[in-house]
Amino acid sequence: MRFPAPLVTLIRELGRLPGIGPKSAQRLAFYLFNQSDADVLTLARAIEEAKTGLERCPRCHNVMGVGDAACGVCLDASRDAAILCVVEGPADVLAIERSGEYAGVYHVLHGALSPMHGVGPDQLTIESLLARLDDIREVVLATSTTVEGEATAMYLAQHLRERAVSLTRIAYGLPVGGDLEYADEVTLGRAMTHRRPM
Amino acid sequence: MRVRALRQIHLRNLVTERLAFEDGVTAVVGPNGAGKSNLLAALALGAGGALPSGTIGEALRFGTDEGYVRVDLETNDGVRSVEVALAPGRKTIRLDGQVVRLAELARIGGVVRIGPEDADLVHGPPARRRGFLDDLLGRTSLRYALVVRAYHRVVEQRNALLKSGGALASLAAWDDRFLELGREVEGLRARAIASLAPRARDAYDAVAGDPSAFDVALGRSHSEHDLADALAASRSEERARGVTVVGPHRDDLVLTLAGRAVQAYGSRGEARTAALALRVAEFELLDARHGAPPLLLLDDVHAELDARRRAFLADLAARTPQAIVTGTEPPARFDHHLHVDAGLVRPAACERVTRTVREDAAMALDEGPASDVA
Repeated sequence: MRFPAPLVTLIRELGRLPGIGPKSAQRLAFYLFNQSDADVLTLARAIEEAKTGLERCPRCHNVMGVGDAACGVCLDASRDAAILCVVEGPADVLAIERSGEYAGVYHVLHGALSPMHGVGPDQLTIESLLARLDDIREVVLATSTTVEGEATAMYLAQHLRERAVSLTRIAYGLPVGGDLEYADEVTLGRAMTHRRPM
Repeated sequence: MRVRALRQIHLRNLVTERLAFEDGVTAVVGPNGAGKSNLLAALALGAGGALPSGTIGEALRFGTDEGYVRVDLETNDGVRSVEVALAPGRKTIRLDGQVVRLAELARIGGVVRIGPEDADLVHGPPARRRGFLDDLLGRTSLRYALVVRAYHRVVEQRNALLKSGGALASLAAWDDRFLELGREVEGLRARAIASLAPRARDAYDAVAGDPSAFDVALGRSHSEHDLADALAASRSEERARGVTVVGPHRDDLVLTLAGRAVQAYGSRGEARTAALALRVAEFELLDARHGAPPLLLLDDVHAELDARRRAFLADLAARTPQAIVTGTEPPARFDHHLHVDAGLVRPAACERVTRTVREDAAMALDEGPASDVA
């Protein structure tokens, strides 16, 4: 037996989402089929509105509502616009904002260098980052500590070095509140290498 | 480390689902194709988290797409249970019920398997010897396992960039990480070989019966002292070929006898002894690492080896708290005797076996996933 065409289309589209395999896509499709019309339409509308109602901030490339002049962080006059934190994605902005420890502005790259997936410097927002450095005092590189995140930080460091900004890399080490004995060797090794005087 | 119990479902042709093991040497005897090696593969999978050879799909009974192995292991920290769930392309390891990474499993104790395909360690391609080294080091150091994985990822990314031909402007961004991780891998390998080589030499001498000047060294992909110089020197070649041509992913393990390569100049017997010496060195390193001898699995080695090497292995088996030895004939010395035929494992010369297997099958149906025991 073959599934009806609308179901096949739904399964195929769901299966294109990251982290969703064919089996999960099928399960989600049947789940949606069994939900009430109202719930499914709410979801469909939410997806559509998220796409049509959002765009990238012209300054930092974070997400913002369509028609806004800039994102919430860029519009906030109380923030120190001379400190710029470079992150891979909007989710990283949210994570750092939750910490409450950072009062500067951001620059969202929308990815990290990954030649295997065809992502080079031109696919990231690096050009516009280099164009907004004039009033910047410090650039904090907060790309992730994956192989790709490290290479991206390295690439940026090589291109920012000649500019008159001070360059820092976010520190890595032990998770706060974690037991030392449960930390993996690499994290512990890095924490030891980057220890600080007290 | 010692294995107390094995439970398996759908592993190749094995029918018997539960087996208990005791200290000492257990001889697993049966005709070719009976399932002796499959039993050993199940133990290797449970105790070490890895299949000795082949894909997961090949490890499953024909026509099934899921398998399960559980072993109860006696370790320094008491009895631990390891469960491995297999599906094509996917393997989930649980230690005492918690999902763990392979490298974490290696911390509880060592397992060494010696088999007929070990001859590849000498005559196979360099990748085979690198694999031996990476596997051993990964099991003695989680740091090594993680560093080597990150290194391979950087090489893959670099190669993709080199192959793309154009946009080489960002190559420099990958070089720093490549050098940092590459130097670390080279350093960790050099350190490991420094402790591996003397143990392998002693083992070789013990097998050969007199001093033989056997040596194990790291064969680097470059003659320059530093990886950075080698990388700089290889610029035009790597661009032309579209791959990273220097670095630890091109290392080899160089085996020599009195300065001459065993691979090229050694006799068949010398090559076998060299492979055996590497396995014994692995055994000794894991013993030192865990402070307890590893579980020893000898797969059909007696057919391959002469009397002298057989006697050496028999000594090794007698020296470790537990060894499981397969063969078409029982070895000279053993404490327990299992007979295998058509996937059915039973204590040799024991008539009550069929009943025990049925009971086990009934228990399995009561408490576990469905199974199709004959």
